[in-house]
Amino acid sequence: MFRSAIAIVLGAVATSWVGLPLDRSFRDQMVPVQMASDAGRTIYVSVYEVTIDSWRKCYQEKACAHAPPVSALRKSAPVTGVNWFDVQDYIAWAKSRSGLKLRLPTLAEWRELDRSLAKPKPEPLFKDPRLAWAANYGQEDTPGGPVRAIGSFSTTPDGISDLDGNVWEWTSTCYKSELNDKDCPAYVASGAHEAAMSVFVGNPASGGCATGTPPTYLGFRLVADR
Amino acid sequence: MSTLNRYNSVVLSRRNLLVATAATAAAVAAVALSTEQAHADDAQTDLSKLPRVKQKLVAPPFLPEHEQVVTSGPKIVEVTLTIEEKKVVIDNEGTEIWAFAYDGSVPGPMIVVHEGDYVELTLKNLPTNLMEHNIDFHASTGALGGGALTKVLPGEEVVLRWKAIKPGVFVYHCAPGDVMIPYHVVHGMNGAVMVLPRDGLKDDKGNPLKYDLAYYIGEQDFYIPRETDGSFKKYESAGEDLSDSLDVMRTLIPSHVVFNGKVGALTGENAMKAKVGDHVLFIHGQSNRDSRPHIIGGHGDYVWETGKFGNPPEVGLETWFIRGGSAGAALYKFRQPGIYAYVNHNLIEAVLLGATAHIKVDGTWNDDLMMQVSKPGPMKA
Repeated sequence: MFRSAIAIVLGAVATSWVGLPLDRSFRDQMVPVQMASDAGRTIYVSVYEVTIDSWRKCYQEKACAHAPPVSALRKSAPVTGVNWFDVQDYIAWAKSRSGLKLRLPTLAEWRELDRSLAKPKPEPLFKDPRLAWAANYGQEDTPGGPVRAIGSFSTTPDGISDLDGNVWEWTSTCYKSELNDKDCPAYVASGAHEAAMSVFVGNPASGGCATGTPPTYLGFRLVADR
Repeated sequence: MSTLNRYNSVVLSRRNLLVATAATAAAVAAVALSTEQAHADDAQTDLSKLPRVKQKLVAPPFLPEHEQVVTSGPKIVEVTLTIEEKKVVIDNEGTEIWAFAYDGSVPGPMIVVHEGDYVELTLKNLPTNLMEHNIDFHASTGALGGGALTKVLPGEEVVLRWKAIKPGVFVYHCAPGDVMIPYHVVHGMNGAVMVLPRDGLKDDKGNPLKYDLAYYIGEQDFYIPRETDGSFKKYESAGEDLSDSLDVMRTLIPSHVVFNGKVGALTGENAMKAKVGDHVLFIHGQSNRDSRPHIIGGHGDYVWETGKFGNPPEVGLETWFIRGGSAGAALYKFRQPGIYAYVNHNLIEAVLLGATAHIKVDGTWNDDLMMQVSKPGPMKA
């Protein structure tokens, strides 16, 4: 894919950074979490979503093409308006700067991180399987309002913040499990509810004429394997 | 111009700006009055003998209680609209506007009468407001739709009576003069009136048509100014956005196009409701800009596209056109349960700017009308 090719080029450029001291700030913003769903394996999880400030560094080093959004919150705001390809650019850059095995969380990991905040699923609106397409209508929680500073929403017992905020987070899980990354047209973004987002979308629609409720904003957080 | 003198002596210069158009408009009012007097011999009804009823107005999308067919004679329907300048949030991101709201809602409430009835309106301008307001009823006759006779400053009220001689759905809006006319209208200052034929609605062959439910969808275009960083500007008080707003309005590109005053005002928990078999009348008003309602998954069985019940309705429509400055009506019987989307079928406006409503319909699915014959799966060779 065209954008993948760009990412590969950037990866090649990144090798020239070898030899620079590694940026410790990525690791400092992460906490270890044992994943029960994965035989107790430990992953490192960013306490907060990736910020505009961090995105700006990637942009200034020309590794991220997407211009950082302007925000009065400056350093403390999560970056939003980023599509799947933008996020891949950032991850490639962040890996080279940090020396860490950074990646997006899978949906299963995201759900486990969010387990203390998850709400019980309400009764479906329609029980007839022929109305399955409308069964979840109006049951999705969609917090609105302006983008707020990182740390403005809940923190889980694992120490992870803002999973229940108004910025949804890209996961690495394709909305159709049988598709691999080469063919996946949409990934699951998770937040107050789960939404399949096209890889091209950075700003979900405000009105929405389908029956679902779109996420308010799209951002992301990183995890790292040992 | 005693009111102007009074205001010149006491209020801030900005407020003077906001009422400055009163002088020219009052001159027009004088002309309109003399014209009306020349034709006064048309009015022969002894109003003192007519029954009076008070109509309790309700916030859209609902309509006040009313009969579809009346057998009694004309009456005087008394309504009160209290104008409130209030800060409202118009989308999920928290964008604000100082709305000018008839009875506190955007759009203002719908008034329902029958042909031959009189509407007697008391229009109140709250003393906490900053601006002069009035009302122009497209359903009325004379004096700029009543606009010339209803100018009220903060703390004032006025009473206007007009006879409903044209059956149909019509918009009303504020029209204080000059640039204030579009400025007030795009700050939410509009609503609708339905004048039903005394013997009710009819199809193209004259057979009676009834509705089980009626919803009023007021579409509103907003033009919110932006900061240099692209975010929407916020203002401390009503009218402060005048100059910035006019600049955005001049582009004719709205920042928001919404139903019932806000993105999502008629979706989710606030979605309209119906049952399979219900005949639902949708009244769509747009006081400023063209629109094109469409029910995704449904139709318009009987549509008065221009909104005037003296004309036969069109049947079986896909999408209908609402001219800016008018209201139209569509009657539809729901035949399938589920969720329907009622949109302005300029889909950019529906999805990106907010002009989407939903209808939740209960009932039993009809396989004859539609069924999924096979679920999505790998293509067969």
